Amino acid sequence: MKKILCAILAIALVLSLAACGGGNKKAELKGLGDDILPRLEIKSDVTVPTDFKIGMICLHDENSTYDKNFIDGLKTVQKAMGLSEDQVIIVTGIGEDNSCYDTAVDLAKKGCKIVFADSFGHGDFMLKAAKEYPDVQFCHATGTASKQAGVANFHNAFASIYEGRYLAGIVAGMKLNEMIKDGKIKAEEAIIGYVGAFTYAEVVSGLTSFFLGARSICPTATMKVRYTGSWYDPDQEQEAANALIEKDNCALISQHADSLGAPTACEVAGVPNVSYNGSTYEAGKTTFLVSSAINWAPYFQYIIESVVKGEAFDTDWCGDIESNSVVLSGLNLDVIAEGTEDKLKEAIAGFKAGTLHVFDISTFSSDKIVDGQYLADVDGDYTGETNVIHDGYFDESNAEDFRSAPYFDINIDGITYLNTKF
Amino acid sequence: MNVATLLIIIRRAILMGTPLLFGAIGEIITEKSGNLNLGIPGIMYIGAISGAVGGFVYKSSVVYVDPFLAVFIPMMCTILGSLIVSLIYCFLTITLRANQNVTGLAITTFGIGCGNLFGGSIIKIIKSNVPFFAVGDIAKEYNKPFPFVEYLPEKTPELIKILLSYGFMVYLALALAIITTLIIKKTRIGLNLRAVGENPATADAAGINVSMYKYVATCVGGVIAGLGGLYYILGNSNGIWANGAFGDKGWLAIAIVIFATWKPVYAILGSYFFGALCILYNYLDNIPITFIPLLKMLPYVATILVLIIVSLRKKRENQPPASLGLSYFREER
Repeated sequence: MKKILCAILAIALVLSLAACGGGNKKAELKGLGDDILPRLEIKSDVTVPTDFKIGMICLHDENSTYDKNFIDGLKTVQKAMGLSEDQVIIVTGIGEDNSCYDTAVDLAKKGCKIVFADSFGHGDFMLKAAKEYPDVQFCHATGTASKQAGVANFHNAFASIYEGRYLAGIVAGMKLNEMIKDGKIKAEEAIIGYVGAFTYAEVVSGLTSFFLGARSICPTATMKVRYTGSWYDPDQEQEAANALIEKDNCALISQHADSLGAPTACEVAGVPNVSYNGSTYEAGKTTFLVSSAINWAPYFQYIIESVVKGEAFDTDWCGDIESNSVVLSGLNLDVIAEGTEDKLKEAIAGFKAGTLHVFDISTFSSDKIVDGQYLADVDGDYTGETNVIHDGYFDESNAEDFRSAPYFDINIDGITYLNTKF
Repeated sequence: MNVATLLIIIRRAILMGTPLLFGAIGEIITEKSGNLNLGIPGIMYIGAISGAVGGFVYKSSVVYVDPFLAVFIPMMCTILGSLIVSLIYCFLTITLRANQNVTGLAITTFGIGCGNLFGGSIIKIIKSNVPFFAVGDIAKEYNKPFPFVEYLPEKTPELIKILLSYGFMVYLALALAIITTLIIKKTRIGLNLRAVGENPATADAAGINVSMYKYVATCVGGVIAGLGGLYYILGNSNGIWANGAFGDKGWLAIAIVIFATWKPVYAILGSYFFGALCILYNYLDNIPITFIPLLKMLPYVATILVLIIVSLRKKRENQPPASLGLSYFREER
């Protein structure tokens, strides 16, 4: 018996070693180009008094892509404006429950002039705290309630990230065109796969703007969407991406979920990938194309300067490309199609001049748009009441007239939702 | 669902199930000695991070990755990491006779915390703007199919091609399952091990060194489970470490032990079946998003069903070792 075992073990070992044979070839990669829309250096001439404090409430910690983006933004501003370690209090792992209220109150009691919370579900608890501490400014990212609440010290903020998504879509469209030209796929096979987390307007707005960006370049592009039902589930995101690639024959993948599941699946399968919320280049050196993200540093600078100067600031604020709130990573020079950068510059100029609109209703159709009108849910009660289409385009994230958080939630032509009844 | 989709699901299910298989084999060996090691999720986590860190350090220190070292170094790190944690568990439960459930749960909590600490530290060191670190070059060596696969004739059925498309770890898991079964069933060592798990006092009277058997079985089991963690990072995740990504796979592995009624060969089927259930919903179309959590429940529902059926049938060979979870005091006789 022992002999048989030894023999089996020896064979297993030899086979495993044989499997690792092979050469040391390593192709030289060109790597990433310079950021297309970089995070600009924060310059401030406001002197922050030493007794000023800002508190931030995060849903998870730095190990979540989403929260890390906020933490990095605040730390950038902290450094640029010379705030000491005791002047910035970051509390992580606060759920969307009453612990958020307790933390907000605690931060206010510790002397914070501003309390910031980063997750949608923190909203109600922030509002409750805001009513009790009128001298402290409570700011809530991605929220929808500030305008209706009518509480002077309660604020919302977001960014017109759909513009960044549109730009990322252009990169994808250029890549699809190149694949068609090279004969890798046929024109009608230019299918984009999309891994979404939930059916919220934020996700739908993001994927639709991405798709419209791609279709503006590659007219035959279509999109298939799979939802995972979770913001962070590496296995399921990887599997959803894999299903899109292998079963649904998608030629390019993008995602709105926080893990590296989808980029990993793309790298294994050799399918180009467009990321969101941070560069995943390291996870996909031969497939990563570009990544768009929200830069929160300008907002933090804005609210800190306003409070220090004693000025009132916007109840609902929406950053854009101009304010450096929408950033776009460098392009992966090994993967992108030729001429991508020029197309991007053209579009960025269009956004800055106000001539290019992502949701131009002449570029898509939907049965939800009747007589050039669509009643969107702007006041946050999940029933549409405000027409948000004017001058021929869907006016997304207009903080002045409507609200900063996305409200584009319609299904347009060319996009198929695979695992949800929309 | 057509044949092509079914083949994709099979391919992915085996990939998904292999870490579970390692974990289940490890836990079966451990439980056969009468130790209920609920620390397996933690040990797998430690195994995963040890291998990932080992691979990362090696990858960062060389220009060109040597295929042999790329496989050898992470594996040795994993073996060492999971061995140390297993020894802690053994010392506490066998030598000091601490409660096995409490110790196991503590080891799991410790393992996950420890893994996240090291993972988080490396992420901070490399200043990545997305919280992860990658050892893709290392993963490539782990996922290389056997060289002869390239030379398969054109006409080979798709299923065979799929079954031969994996890296060596998948076959190592299968081999371990079979070898473990042989050892437990056919050898003197296996007989002694079962005796220790069923009735340590009798085994002791027969001159079997109970403590040694428990120590060795638990450590070997822990190391095998640790390899499951390693394969998850390098096989499934293509060398990407993100904190918490490993999730609840350790618990699934323990569930498979029950599902397989303590038989390693059944664990093969169990793991692949669980792997398939875990990924299934991604390959179904036109289901409402509200169904997804229900589909995610399936592996656990299957475990409960097996528990009920096995309990109802009360067949003696399907029961856990009689002294499972109990500490052995020689003086108590």
